[in-house]
Amino acid sequence: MRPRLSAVLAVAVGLALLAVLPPMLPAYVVILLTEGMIAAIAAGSLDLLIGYAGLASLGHAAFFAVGAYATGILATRHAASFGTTLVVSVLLAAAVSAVVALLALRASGLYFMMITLSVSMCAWGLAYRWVSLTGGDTGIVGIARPKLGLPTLARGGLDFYYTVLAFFVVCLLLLLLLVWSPFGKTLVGIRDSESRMRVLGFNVWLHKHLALTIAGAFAGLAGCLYAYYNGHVGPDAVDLGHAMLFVLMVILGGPGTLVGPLLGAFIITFLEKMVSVFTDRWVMILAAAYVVTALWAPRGLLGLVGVVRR
Amino acid sequence: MPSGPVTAALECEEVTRRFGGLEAVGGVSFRVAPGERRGIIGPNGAGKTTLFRLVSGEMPVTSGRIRLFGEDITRVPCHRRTHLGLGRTFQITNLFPTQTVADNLVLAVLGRRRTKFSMLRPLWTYRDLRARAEAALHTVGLAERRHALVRNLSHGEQRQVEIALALLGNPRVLLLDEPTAGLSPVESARMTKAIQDLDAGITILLIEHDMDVVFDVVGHITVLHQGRLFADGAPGDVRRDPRVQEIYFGGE
Repeated sequence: MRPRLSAVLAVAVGLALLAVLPPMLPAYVVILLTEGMIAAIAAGSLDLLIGYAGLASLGHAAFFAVGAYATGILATRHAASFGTTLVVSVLLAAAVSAVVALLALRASGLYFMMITLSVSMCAWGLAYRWVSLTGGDTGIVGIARPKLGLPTLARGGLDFYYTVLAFFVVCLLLLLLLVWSPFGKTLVGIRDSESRMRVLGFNVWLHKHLALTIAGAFAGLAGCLYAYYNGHVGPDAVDLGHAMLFVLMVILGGPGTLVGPLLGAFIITFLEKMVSVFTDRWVMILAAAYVVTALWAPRGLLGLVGVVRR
Repeated sequence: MPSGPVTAALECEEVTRRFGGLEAVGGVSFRVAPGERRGIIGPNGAGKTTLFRLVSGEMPVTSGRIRLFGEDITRVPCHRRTHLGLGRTFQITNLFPTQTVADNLVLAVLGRRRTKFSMLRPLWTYRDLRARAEAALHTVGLAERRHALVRNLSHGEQRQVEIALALLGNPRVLLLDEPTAGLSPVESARMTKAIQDLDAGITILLIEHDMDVVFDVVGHITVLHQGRLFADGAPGDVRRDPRVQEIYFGGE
């Protein structure tokens, strides 16, 4: 199905605002937008699995962490360039995801979820305990943002913002092409009926494996950007809360819409920072938001837009 | 039909499937000649659908051999069998309910094409795929419903899509599992006509409870009972066979 013109316009306007507004915005909003875009890359790729292929993966934070740690380690200990950390993060996360997929795809449904959950927990265990590599509880500190030789903009932080924006736009376009492509349609077919897909001649396992590997690569890229953004990578980037956060972004925004989860990523990022100012009970607010979504907007925010239209 | 020197389109040799202690299909052997239309009948629980699942590769056999045009496909995975020319419809409608009729058909076309791995070009720019799906829409008479979601179709329309999906894979051997299940008499007659009108080169195995449909379509009947091959022959002979009447209508 072709995308509606109105949807394309809405996305184009959103991207235009992200490009034009920041010089006029307060610094902390620009910082939050940067973080939102990074989370959106991860959430968008997770939607490929949850919304399109019907693979409820709780392991996305692990691949995100592979990218973040690879970048942190290479940048601080080996003085690696931005290009190097980027390529290594993406390839390593894709490779780890491909190996995990070999294991996780032996199961489906709830069991698939449990295996990916345990992968997340193993990743956290490694981050926390493999001190010589990951720095343990302290993590890896002092990751300097890349100097890209961009013309110096009026205010600090903006050049990194625009770097992330460039990646965000490219990732968004790639993900859109992917879900519009024949391959994207096969993922939806698998979500609807695996048995029918097999009988039609599809190697269902291979399509799922490719989807997991590709999504892992995007998560690795997001992890790489996150390491530079945050300047520090610790076990909190890998913990279960983080894994659930990505899933919530997808569910809140509307699984299977791609744009919805991107929106969900921005909303949750902003909400987290704003709520944290007033209370330590951020997780409680998050849980409440989840319950409200599950009860009144089971198809997410974009699902609500669809309801209004009809 | 005589099983002469011609290679059988489909050949089962002592095909057996056990579930724990239960033998759902036990030592079933038969040959189906190219172009033949074969009915598979039997009471509920006779193992008909299980036999189809074994032939299509959805489920592995416990023992025995299956050959498609002489090629041993016993260990060939389900999706590869489709590429070797096997097609199948489901007794319980098995479609892509959240997708439009057109997209259901496009997926069926993609099944046997390398294009299915294409990732960076929108689906709607592939004219050949859409043309193929469009032609199928007209064949099954669902052209006006092309943009309807499959879950919103009537049961009869869904059964038509069910057959259309299988045909788009260009099968040489087609397994039809109760194509008229749940259809009204009028729809059932239309479906029977559609099956009769299929390309004579396609070998068809038909599971069906509606005897009128079976006798209209097939030239040969295989009767399964409790997982075993019970009787085999021309429709008239099978209908008159007192043992067959016994298992269908007789009590103890």
